[in-house]
Amino acid sequence: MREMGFQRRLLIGVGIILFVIASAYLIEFVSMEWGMRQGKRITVLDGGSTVAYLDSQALKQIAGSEEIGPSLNSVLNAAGVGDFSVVEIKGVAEETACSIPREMLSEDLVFQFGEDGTADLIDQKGAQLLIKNVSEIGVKP
Amino acid sequence: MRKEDVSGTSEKFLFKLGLADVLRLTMFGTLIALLKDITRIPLHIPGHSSIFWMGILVLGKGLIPGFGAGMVMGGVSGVLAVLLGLGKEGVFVFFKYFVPGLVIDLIAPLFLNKLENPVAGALCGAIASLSKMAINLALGLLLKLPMVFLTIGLGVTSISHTVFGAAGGVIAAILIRRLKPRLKTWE
Repeated sequence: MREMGFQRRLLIGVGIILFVIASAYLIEFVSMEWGMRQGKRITVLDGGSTVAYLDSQALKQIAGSEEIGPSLNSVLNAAGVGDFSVVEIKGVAEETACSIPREMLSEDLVFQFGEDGTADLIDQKGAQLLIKNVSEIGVKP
Repeated sequence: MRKEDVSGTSEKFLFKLGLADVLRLTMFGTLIALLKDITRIPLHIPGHSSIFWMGILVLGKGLIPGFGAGMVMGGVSGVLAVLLGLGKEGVFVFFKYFVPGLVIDLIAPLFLNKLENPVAGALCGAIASLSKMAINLALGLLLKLPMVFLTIGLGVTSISHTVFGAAGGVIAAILIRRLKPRLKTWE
């Protein structure tokens, strides 16, 4: 049997790397789509373009040692959004959405973690559930 | 065939490696764990440690090409990582160190163990680095750990692992080329 050439072996190596990278992108895409449908991943949009994806683990990291989840303010800061006047928050269910002007943002608006990796936005002051299973946070100038 | 020496270090000790080779590989394995523990490169890019991690793995495998070399280096660095308490995975951190070594052992014969070739070295380093990323991901999912390295996305993470692993592999290939002729009297 003819021995495989060295260059061909190198090409197989390149193929393995490309396969792994393509698989990584595929896994990322599939898990992102699945996570968004389940409300387990929150997309942060700045003027319509995506600036960050957050899951409950990322939110817990932003919250740090606080017992309750992070405030909406700290999440927006962590996501690195620019100047904005309105924040629009959407839930997994299509009809659930709310707009909050910047001046209305306070540390009372916090995320509360669900047991299934989802997060709800609540108003601590009025003990009111604003959005269940948050899927998108968008800021507009 | 290797010549028997008085101390018997050329006899097969582990896999097809002599005792002297295993001891040398132990040194490389130790170097990986210690460098990972000591160095604090402020790069904040996932996989940046692959530049020396995979570099040392490829260097060790290039200088001692017998099957099992990668596993010895990975095993030694894995045990040390557990003992030094590296990572958040507890005892499972062993696999994070062992798997790239195992992958180097499996992938090097594909390149006829010619790791002194910069392209082969780069490919070996990159594939080993990607295996490290894969085991990191698997352990993270299994143990439900926060996977900070995934905040920029798995796709981009895989590219950064490839780049740093390949860079380590190229450096190792250059070193192998320079060192191999000078190490003929190792036995």
